[in-house]
Amino acid sequence: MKKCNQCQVYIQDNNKICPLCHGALERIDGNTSINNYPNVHPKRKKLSLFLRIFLALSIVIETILITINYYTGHETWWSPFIGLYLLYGYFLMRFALVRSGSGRWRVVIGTFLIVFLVITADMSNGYDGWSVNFILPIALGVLNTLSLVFIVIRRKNWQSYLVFQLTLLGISLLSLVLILLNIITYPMVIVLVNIYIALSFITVTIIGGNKALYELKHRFHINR
Amino acid sequence: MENKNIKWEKLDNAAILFPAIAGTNMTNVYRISVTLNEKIEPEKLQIALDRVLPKFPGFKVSLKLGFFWYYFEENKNPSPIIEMESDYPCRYIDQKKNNDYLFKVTYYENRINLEVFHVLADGVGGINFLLELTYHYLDLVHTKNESQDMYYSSNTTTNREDSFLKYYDPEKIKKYPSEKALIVRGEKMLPGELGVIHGVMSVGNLKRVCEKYGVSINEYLVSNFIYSIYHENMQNKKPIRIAVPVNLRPYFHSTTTKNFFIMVSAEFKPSRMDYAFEDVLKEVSVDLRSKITKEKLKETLSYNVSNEKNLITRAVPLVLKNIAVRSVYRKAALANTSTITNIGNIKVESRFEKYIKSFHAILSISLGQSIKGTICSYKDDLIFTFSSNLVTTGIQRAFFRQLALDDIDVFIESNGVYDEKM
Repeated sequence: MKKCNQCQVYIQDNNKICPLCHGALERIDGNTSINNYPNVHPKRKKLSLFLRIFLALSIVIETILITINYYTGHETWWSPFIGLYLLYGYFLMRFALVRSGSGRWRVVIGTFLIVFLVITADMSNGYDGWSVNFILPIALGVLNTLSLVFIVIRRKNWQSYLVFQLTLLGISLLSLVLILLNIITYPMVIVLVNIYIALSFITVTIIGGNKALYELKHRFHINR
Repeated sequence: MENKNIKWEKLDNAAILFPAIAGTNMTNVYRISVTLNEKIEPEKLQIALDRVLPKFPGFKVSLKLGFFWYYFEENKNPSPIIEMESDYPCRYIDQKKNNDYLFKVTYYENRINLEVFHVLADGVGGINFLLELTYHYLDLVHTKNESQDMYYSSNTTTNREDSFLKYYDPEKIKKYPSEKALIVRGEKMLPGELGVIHGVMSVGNLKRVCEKYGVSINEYLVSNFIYSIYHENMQNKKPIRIAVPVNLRPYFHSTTTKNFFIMVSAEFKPSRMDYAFEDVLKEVSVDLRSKITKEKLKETLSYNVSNEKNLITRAVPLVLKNIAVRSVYRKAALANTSTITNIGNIKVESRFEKYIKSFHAILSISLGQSIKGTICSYKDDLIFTFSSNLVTTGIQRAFFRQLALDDIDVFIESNGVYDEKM
């Protein structure tokens, strides 16, 4: 054992210096001390470094592109879109690779980021409405199809996808408001997708029987 | 579409907060560990865990997202795999990488560590589980007992009552203080790193000193912590407020294994630069005594539950609720300088005493609180543990020097982080 004469405390483990004052220690007996904790070295996040490099390079590239865009005639501003796609790539990698949490919600966030980008691109070209008329419903439809595929593949935990489907149904129903606001000018696709998602949800709930109802009950905190 | 309905249950009032705020930088994980007089055999520890876990339904759960609230669902996966300790204490528990469980068991040399995400249980629930696990392990190693069904401790309980709701009184409501407290600042370690310093001292010696001052051990240690913070931040006139979680079970005769504690703030408002330790001790002990009474505790408990009971709060979807909870938490967190948890005196079944050397407890750091303290004792040894992500150790030094000034021998152990930092 060792002693720190500054702090007047005894040091039980194999420290070279006093952990309190960082001063020298005096050995007071011949007993060998052992460390009670493993020697842990911080796990550097290589991925995080990769992301930081990606972000820095993106900023450099985007600055160069904006400069080129400006000096080569800025009737068409194409450079901000490349910037948006780079930003999308960055956030997608962050959500997909770095953040922990449920994979299905990362897919949803990634998909809606794409939809957002597409809508931005549509608006920058004078807004023809193709992004909300077609891309938004298709994205919802694809997500619903994915949920059905996972219900079949992951049969042990199929019921957990009910809430995912219900959320998609909520979002697709909300998107019907866009028809009333005349933002969606070609409503057939979104209406069909709504029917597809609603039927999927109803079918899964009916086939799921009591287990589906039970799942929905506790998701909504309805007492047994 | 097979198998029977899976059991589920609501989170208790204290637990509601944790999933909303927890992440890799603020893990809300605490560690309780037991050090034996012999090396740990991991295979037998795994068998012991496999046997104990089904007896603790409160630990055999995973956390799920509901529309309005989080909830627990029975976890039918095998127990989490026991691993040798290879990381800093109290790291984030990602349930996806842990068989969907919210606790971990690791070992190192003679020590078994139980790390628990606070959503599951408070320290009392954690100790309950760790003791039962240790007894089963020791029985496997020493008596080769194959009886899997028994509980070894007469104190073990599996009561899953939400005592917050049971003892809530809508007529008696008292808010927490929200005035900003002094925040301990300084150079921080790398993300995820945690410095741990344990100070081992004799309970007998502490009692002698506390009797001299006319205070309890808890009051003395909390006051010493506050004095140490004051000592290192004398220019700062903001109040130093230490959150002290109070176990409510003895006050309300509850035996729940869920969380059942509330935070009481021990406060010291410095107005000059020449306070002596005795001045702080007097002020803090009077403050603590006035706050830890059944009536006062009930008022704070009722305030906590009133938010959960509020109809508007209940109707808000979880995604929005989480945003609000984080914002409220941020404000509340900055109203406290630090936290000290007192696990209390741990008693073990007499036939296992000869195998058990000591217990330690460690808290993870949180927003605005870069240093925290934990107290636990076993037989005549009391261990005060500092966990911190600050590179400097001025507060710890001032704390242990005060003990030395009071003629209390202190034996220091650390996790080696401060040695590496030099």
